[in-house]
Parts: sequence; structure tokens; C-alpha cells
Amino acid sequence: MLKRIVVTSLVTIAATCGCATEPQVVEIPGASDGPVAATDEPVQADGRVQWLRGRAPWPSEEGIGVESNGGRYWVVYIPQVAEIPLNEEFDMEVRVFDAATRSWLVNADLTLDARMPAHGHGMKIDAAPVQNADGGYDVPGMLLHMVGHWELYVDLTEGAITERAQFDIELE
Amino acid sequence: MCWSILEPFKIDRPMTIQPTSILCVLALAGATPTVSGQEEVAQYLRTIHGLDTPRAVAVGPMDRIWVTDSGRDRVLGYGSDGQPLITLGSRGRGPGQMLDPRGICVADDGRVYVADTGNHRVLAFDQAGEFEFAIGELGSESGAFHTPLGLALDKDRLFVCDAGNERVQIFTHAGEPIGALEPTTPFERPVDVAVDGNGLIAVADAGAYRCIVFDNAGREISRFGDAGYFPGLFSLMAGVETFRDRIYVSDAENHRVQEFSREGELLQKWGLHAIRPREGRGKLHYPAQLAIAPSGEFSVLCEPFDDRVQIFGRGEEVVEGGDVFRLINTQPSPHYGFRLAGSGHWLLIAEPETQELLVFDTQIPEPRLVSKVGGFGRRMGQFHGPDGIHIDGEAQTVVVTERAGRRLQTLVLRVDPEAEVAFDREMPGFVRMLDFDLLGRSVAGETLEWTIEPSAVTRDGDGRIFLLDARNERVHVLSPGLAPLFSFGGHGDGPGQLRGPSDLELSPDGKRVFVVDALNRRVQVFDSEGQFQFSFDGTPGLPFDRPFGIAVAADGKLFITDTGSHVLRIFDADGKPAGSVGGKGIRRSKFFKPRGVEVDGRGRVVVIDHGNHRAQMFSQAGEYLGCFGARLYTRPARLPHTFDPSDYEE
Repeated sequence: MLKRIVVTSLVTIAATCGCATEPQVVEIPGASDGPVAATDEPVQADGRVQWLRGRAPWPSEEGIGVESNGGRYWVVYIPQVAEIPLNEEFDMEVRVFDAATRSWLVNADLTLDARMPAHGHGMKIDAAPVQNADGGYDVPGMLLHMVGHWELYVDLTEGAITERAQFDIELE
Repeated sequence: MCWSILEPFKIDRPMTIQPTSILCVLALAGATPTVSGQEEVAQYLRTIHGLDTPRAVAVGPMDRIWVTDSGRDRVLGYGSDGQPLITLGSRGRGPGQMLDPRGICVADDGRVYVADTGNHRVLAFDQAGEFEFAIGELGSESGAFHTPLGLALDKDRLFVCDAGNERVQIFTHAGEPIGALEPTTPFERPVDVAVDGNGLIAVADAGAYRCIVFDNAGREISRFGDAGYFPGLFSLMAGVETFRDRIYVSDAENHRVQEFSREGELLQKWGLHAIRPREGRGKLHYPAQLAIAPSGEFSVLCEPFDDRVQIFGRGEEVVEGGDVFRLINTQPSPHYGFRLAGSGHWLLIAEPETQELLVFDTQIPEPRLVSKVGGFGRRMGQFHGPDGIHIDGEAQTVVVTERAGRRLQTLVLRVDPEAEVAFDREMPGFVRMLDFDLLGRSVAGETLEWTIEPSAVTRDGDGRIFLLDARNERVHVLSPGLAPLFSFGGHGDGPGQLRGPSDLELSPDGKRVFVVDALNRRVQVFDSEGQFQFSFDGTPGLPFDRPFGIAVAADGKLFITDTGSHVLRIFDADGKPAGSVGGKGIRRSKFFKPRGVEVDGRGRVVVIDHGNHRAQMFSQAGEYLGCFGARLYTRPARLPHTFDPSDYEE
């Protein structure tokens, strides 16, 4: 049963409260052939949330991207289904880029989770990303078992520091 | 006789309290008249009052009861009838002196071993109370300690929970180190250990919310428990006792004692949170260490929060059905934690039982709960022992430290300031997490002896993070991107050294760092690069007893809570006394063990009145403005003329 997916990032909400310049629903409907220059949006002081600065390069396929909440990464996820199903397993792929250089990070230390904050619970499964030959991460067996607002978290670790990229998914 | 410690317990009716074991009397005494109308069974015997934060207890030969009177840095010995007999030790670092003792055990020959926790050693006294010798000193090598807590003895061995080193060391009775317990996965924070006559060794590993059981040879035979409040789970394990193959765990933040088989099967649980402030006589409130007399004739339970020890004995009749209210009420007992942070129109308080961060909006006079953040877990976005909090109200960014999880997380509150105030669990967006275990002990060019244990935290105008490291007793300064820059402090009582630091804050211009040096009973002042400037101890007139929290107003005025004397002290920017508010009590402007303090975005001084389960708000001149928190505990402050305080105070 499909359900409409509305994907936004932290920036959307931040923008509505004046923390960013404008709301951005980030969808990358198709291929983007090359690097995309960063926008001229101001970069806030390090240590504070740096909101989305622009679209990332995306070599192929359809994906949805956001800048990580600290501005270090650009993360794109690609559901391997036309629409995310309710309470049925689906696969997805995640790709990680350096937000500053726009280069693809193929050895990211990545964990993935999804939760429904309003309900205080997560998924019924533990997501297990597996790196694929292209350098992306296949995430088989994702399962969003309830209608409502989900937050998809991609946590990326370098050394002792982990930074989160998150997506909002509205499952109706 | 209503119970027998020898009678095997049958769990065919787990929702029925059957008084078949010694600690069952705790439950029955705390049960109050049940919904079925049956009267409580009076196994409760007596309470020893007049203590100050008693954390550990043991029962020795002749049924003598030994209690660490931790807040007064001494050990008291009582007869089984509760009559005081002897005092051991005094505050200090010399032979036989002690600082914040938190563990005790007694040998068959009457020798008393005391965990001198604040001095990181174990003391031995003979049966007459004369000091004999000390074991260990601060360190991480074999035979040394960091924060020794629970102790236990068998015929040949002394077991010491070396909590800061995350191990349980074993010594001869003469104090020679002979090894350590080796669980299948490392201890995270062992707080108490118990040994029974059959060689059963049980360790309460509070950091992992589990009990680990060993045989007499030190082989692990079972482990059980996890975080939570459902039966069989723990929230802040504070003590463990064994008796004839049964294991009893004091589950402090669930206000109960749970009894298990050696395999970890839950047999019973007892405890009912006090309904009225300071209510005792069987009600349990943050129970800590417990002990069962070798004879099995009575049991003793410490309640440091309420400054008392309760003694229980045999009752006269069986209660069927038990306390139904308690059995069906499986919710946690939320209380405000030790610290808070305020800025702009935000106020944040950690809630230990749920391990959530409570987010209050203060646009209206009485803070309104608008979100809860976190909850127990080890993933990013969850908390394992949330402790320090800092918020930048303008940017709506928050820093949270996890002392047990040894992490620091940053998050943003995603709120439209123009929107109507409403509860929203989707408010937080987590940004970064620094894992101090991954960071290791090499930090900013220095090699620390222990991994950083983050506690209080604040931030300067440049975004640098000032972080109190409870284990190394240092302050670390991190860049806005969480890279360690430098640190200062270190263990000791000299100028610039710290013992048991509990809080820190920056002056409004960011040029001074105030550190509450709790066990040295002073506040030390450093410049923003960590150079020691001066210190003050509250004098003249009223020296600090146990200072805990500190806040700084925009004009530089300092507000410091003193847990020991139950007051809020006010100082000018140079540490000169400028007044005080409080005193022990529950009425408005009175406190019971106040903890964190903050000046919120409205300029109010908000104090966590921890022992009264509420927060009180004052003007900077000390005028009472209001309070919020648990209804029963706020009522005396809201209606000061319409109640009898004796209704609330034992």
C-alpha cells in the first residue's frame, strides 16, 4: 500500500522559523552529471547547525539528498521502490559525499535507523547497511510499520565524532 | 510466623506478594492498607534517623549494624536495636580519616573495612574501632583505586568495587592484591558486590544495568537485567546482597528491591515510592545498599536521600493480594535530575528515571513542558546517563553530556518561535556526537590516566565548549567542532587542583571559569585559558558544606547551591558573600538537597530542589517567584498558609 512520501530535511523546519533562508524540499528526480557548485548561502559558525547549502552531485538514478545536520556531509538515499510501502519490506541505497568538496566518500562508517518521535519508537528491525561495489550502501529489508511521520537517520562516524543526516518521511 | 528464609519460593503466582523471604517484609511494611482492605503487616521495625546521606551498611558479629554516614565522613556502629554504640573516623586524609565513605563490610573477627571513596582507598579498623591500615591510593594499576564503592568479604578474600577503574579487585584480608573478577564482558561501573556463605558472588554493574553472578572460583555463571522500570529491569542499581542463594538488588530510581535466583529468575520485587515527602516506615525512597544479618533475623536498608536507615524484621501474618496499586502501576517515578540549563525562553532539565531531557518553554510565567528528548539507549539521539546540559537560546542549540555513556551530543530545537506553544516530541534534531571512548586517553597532547567522564558543560561566546571531566577531575576545552584544545585542573587540594568537581560556569564576558570543587568545599576561579586565579570557600560566616551547582547572572553575581546546608548562596563576582536563601524544609524558599541552579532567559534564578522533587524560581535578590514540579511537593510552596508542614515532614 502505497503511500505518499514527502521528504524534507531539518532545513525545511528551520527555514520556517527563520533559521535558514528559505524552505527547501530536496528531491533529486534524475541524474545530475557533474559537480554542483555550492550556493552562496551563508555558512554559520562551526559547531552550530549549518543548514542545506545546495544540491549535491548525483550521478544517476533518483534520490533524495540532504546536508548532514552539522554540514560535514551530503547524504542521498534512494528507495529501491517507486513508493515506500506501509509495513512491507523494501530496499534502499545510501550514498555519502563530502559536503565541502562534493567528492564521494566510499569508506564512510555509517549506521542507519528510523524512528517515529511522536510515538517514541523505532523500526521493528535493525537496519544493516552493506557497502556495494559502487561505494554506496545497500540497506535491505527496511520496514516502516506504521502510518505517520518517520525520521530516517544516517549517522556518519569519523574518529570519535558522529554526525547525523536526517530525512523526514510521511507515510500515509 | 509469616515467613521463612529457608522456605523455597514458588513463583506460580507472581502478582501475589508472598512473604516468604527476608526482604519481603520490606514490601509488606511499605504496602499500606491494600485495596482489598487488608491491613499492612508490621514487619517494619524501626528507623535510624539523624544520619547524613548514609550510603552503605553492613551487619557484623553480635548483629551490630555498621553504617557509612557519608555526608559526615564517618562510620557509625549501632546495636540491632538501633542504639548508637561507636563512631569510626572523621573528615580528612590522614590515617583513619575518611572522605565520603560509600562502602563497608565486616569480618567474622569484627574487623571493619570501609571504602574511603573520596580518598580512593580502603581503610581497616579493628573490632574496637582502632584504625589498623589503609589499602591503595588513587590510580589505575593493580591495588590502586578510583572511586572504590561496595565491599564484600568471604573467608579469605576482600572484594572491592573499583568503580572508576571499572573492575572488582580482590585482596587478602591483610590488603594484598591477589586479582580481579573477570566477567565475560568488561564491567561498566560496578557499584556493589556481595558474597554469600555458599561462595556465590554477585556484582551490581550499574553502568550496564545488570547483575553479574560468579561462582566461588570467579567463573561467571549468569548475568541478568537491563535498563528500565518493568519487573526485572533496573534504573540506577545502588546495592546488592546475597543470602542463601538468593540475590537482592537495590533498584534506587525504581524505589524498590528485587529478588532473584542465582540464574537471574525474578522471584519478588518490593517497594512503594513514598507518597508524602520524607515518608518512611516501610516506604522506600532511593534505596541504596542493603544488608541481611548473618542470623537472618533482620535486614537493614540505607536511604541516603532521606538520611535514614530502615530496619525490618519478621511479621505476624500473611497478606494475600499484596499492594495491588503498586503491582499494576508500572510507570517510572520521574523526578527532576541534578542539572538544568536555561537561555532565551528555554529551560531544560534532565529526568534520570526516563533518561529524557525535559524541555520547558518559559514564555509564560510558569514553565510549560513542550518536549521530551532522548530516552535510554546507546544510539545517537538516545542517552545513557544524561548529565550536563547547556543551551544557547538564540541559536536553539543544546549540548548534552552523558556521564555513564561517556559521550557528548549536540542538538538543535526545531521550533518556530512565532508558533503557538505546544508539546512536540519531534522538536530535537541531533547534530553531532563525541564518543570519549573512541577519543581515547590521548587528548590535546596529554595522556590522561582515565577516559574522559563528561559531566557539567557550558559554552563561551566563541562556541568553545568547557567540559567538566569527573573522572580525571579536569576541565577540558573543546573547539566548536568538538576537537579537544587544552585542559586544566587535576586531582588534589592545592590551588587549581580539584576533588570531586560538580559544576562549572563562565562569567558573562567569558573571561572567568568558575568550578565548584565540591569535595574541597570551595569554588575555584580560572581564566579562560585555564590559569588559576583565586578560590573562595563561602567564608566569612558560612563556609560551604557540600556545594554543588553554580549559575552566573548577567551582572556577574554568583548563585551556588549547597546540598549539605540546603541553601542557595549568593556571591558577588569576586566571591564575596551577598546573601542566601533557604534552609531545610518543604515550604516556599526552603530546600531539601538542592542541586543544579541556573539563571534563565527571564533573569530568574531557577533551583532544582531535588529532594522536594520540584524547581523553585527566585528573583536575583532572592525573592520567591514560584515553583513547578510534582504536585504534592509543590503544594506546600504554592499554599504556604493553608497547610500544616508537619503533614509533610516526618
